[in-house]
Amino acid sequence: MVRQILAVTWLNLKNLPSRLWPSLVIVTGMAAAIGVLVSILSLAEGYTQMARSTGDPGRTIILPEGADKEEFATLPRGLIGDIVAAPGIARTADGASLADPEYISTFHATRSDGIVALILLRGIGRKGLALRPELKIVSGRMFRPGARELIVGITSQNRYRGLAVGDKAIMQDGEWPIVGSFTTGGDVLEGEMLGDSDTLMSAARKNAFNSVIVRLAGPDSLATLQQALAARPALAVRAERQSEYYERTSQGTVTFFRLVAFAVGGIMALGALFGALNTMYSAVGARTREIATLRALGFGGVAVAFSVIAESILLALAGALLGIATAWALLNGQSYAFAYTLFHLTVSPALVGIGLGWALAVALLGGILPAVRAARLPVVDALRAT
Amino acid sequence: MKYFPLVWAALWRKPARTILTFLAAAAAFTLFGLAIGVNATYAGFVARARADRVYVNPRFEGTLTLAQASRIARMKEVRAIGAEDFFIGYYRDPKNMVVPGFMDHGMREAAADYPLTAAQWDQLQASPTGVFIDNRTAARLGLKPGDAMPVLTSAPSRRDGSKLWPFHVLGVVENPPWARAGLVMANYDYYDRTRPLAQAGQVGQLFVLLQDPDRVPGFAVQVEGMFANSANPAWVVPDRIYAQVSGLYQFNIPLLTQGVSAAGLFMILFLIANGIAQSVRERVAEFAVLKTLGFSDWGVTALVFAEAAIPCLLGALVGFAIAMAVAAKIAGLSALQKMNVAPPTLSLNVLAVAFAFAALVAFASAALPAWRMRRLDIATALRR
Repeated sequence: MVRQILAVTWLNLKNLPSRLWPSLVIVTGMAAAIGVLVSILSLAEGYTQMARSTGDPGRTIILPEGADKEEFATLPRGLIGDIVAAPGIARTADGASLADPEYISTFHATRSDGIVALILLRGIGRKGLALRPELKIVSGRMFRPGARELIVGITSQNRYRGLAVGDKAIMQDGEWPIVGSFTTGGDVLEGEMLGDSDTLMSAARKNAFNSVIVRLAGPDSLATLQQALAARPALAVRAERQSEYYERTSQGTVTFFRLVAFAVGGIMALGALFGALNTMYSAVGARTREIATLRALGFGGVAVAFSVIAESILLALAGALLGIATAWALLNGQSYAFAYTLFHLTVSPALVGIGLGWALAVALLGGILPAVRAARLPVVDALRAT
Repeated sequence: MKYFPLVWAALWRKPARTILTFLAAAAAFTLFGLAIGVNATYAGFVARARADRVYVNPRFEGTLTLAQASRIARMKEVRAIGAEDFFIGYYRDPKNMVVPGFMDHGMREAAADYPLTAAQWDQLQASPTGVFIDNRTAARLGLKPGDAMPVLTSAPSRRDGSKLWPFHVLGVVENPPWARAGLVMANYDYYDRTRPLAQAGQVGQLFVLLQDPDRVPGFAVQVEGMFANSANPAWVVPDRIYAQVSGLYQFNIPLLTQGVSAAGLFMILFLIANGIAQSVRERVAEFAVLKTLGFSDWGVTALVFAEAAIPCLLGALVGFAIAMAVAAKIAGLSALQKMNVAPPTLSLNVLAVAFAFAALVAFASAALPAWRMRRLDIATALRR
């Protein structure tokens, strides 16, 4: 049986070049459908990876009650002392809390087409770097505490004009030099600019931070911290694991991208399915005499059916790989801006798997009915077919 | 039209092939309709943007002031000016975020695209704590006209130290497509005299109508220069530019929609080209007979073209209808509302574009077989 299947399938695939043009219908259809699916999913994947790499489960973000995002939160300076003194926060050797009140505002960056876009300008304090060991300066130097200097994430720097080391950024109180650029290994900070929080706040004449980032003393310290904060209702703040914060805040965007990807990819796949059915029916039609001859020689219907499905799968996978390769070549690693969050389009192995899986499903659906017809061809009539 | 039965018979010679081709075309054109429709929606926002309107925003983190508004109002090229401010709060549960926009009397003219009638503007200006909300917000928060709508802010934001704003709903208005996330329109004068004294007179954004749209660039330079060294530097954004980058912000809608529609067309191009080539190849003798009977070369060309065009155009029509149904369905999806995404616009223009591309695909796929049939040598072909 297995030998029969292999023999018939091999024979069929050897004859495939004679049906080159009809076969290309499946290949191009799948390439287009899977290419589009994977392209749009690369947005969701890139956004998820960016959010995931930013959220360190060992870090916690403290926000005022009722503010669900850092950008929209206000923490008056007067509350900070009480917050960072709470138990559960890691301490440095000198006993200071590993906690950093951070200030967030926006900066007007100019796109290459001249349109002004907003990027996040984050003020970090003395503990900001200790909290983020992943931050590495790639050119220039770190800003000095208290100085009117900025550093820029590499993604922003590549995307916008006038953010190179040595350029000047226009701020409320004059021009601030950009003294360095940094990488954080692909997280959200790479699309932002950093400066000293106190200096930025005094330039903006603001006296409220947006959030406090802290490192937890141990894996179980979050509950301790949350209880301590809840015991002080006057503070009206809550602590959330940073990984959960980014998971939560990226969810809407990721769900949206996935929805679009699956809707668009689904309609394309349906179109490709009709194309595959068409091609496979005509392939069976073209092989009528060959199939009848094989059956007359004693090959089973199952072997014949299998050869049809194998052909459909082979063509669909070839098309899917073509589509995925195109999406990868065009998009992988490109930086993309959504609101003021920058991230990189990512065609990950998981997406390759999803793309090939969809192609396989379409190939099976598109191959089964023609395969059944092939297996059921009345041998005597079919031998006479032209 | 006389030859329609000929084309029809050719199509139904292989019903499975014709139906599958039609279905694939319908799927491709569903996608095409949705993609071009999304593009049309965003192009519509840009087209509807008023050429004579600019927004004046704070250049940096911070606010503008009513004093700046009255300085701008005195400029001779200004026809109308309105001021707006907002805060972020929530209704009952921190999950129910609410962003009331407080509008002064000037907004009536400067923001005439807000969905309020003259009587409703009067009502809004006359009622300190009254707000108008749109039907989306009403549905999300479960509110109806007359209901109390207390909004809590995270920072102390009232002069009396309280964080609670006791609004009530004056009326529910239709949601405009440019504000899918919802609208809460409130009274600026009340807000300004109720918040802490230190913040009195602050505004978040000015809406300015100019006498002459051609003056927009000059006005922008002048206003930005006027306040460059003040405590509140300004940033002027023309409505046109704002429409281009708002909504999905810097999301490149034209590129995405064009990519998707191109992929859809590419998919069916091969399918239809292959189908028609096959069909013509199988009927060489038939075409030879037609030419013997006196059909001109152009007549034969037209027949081949019609055979490719019918499933294409029908597919475009049905695909467009499906796209319309899908667009109506997705308009209410909360995942899209949260992202402030407007549903695709499936206008007659979009249908015309779909038909044009369907004809193009049919033409491209029928060109080669039609050319072959024109050059057909009748004597040899008849023998087959």
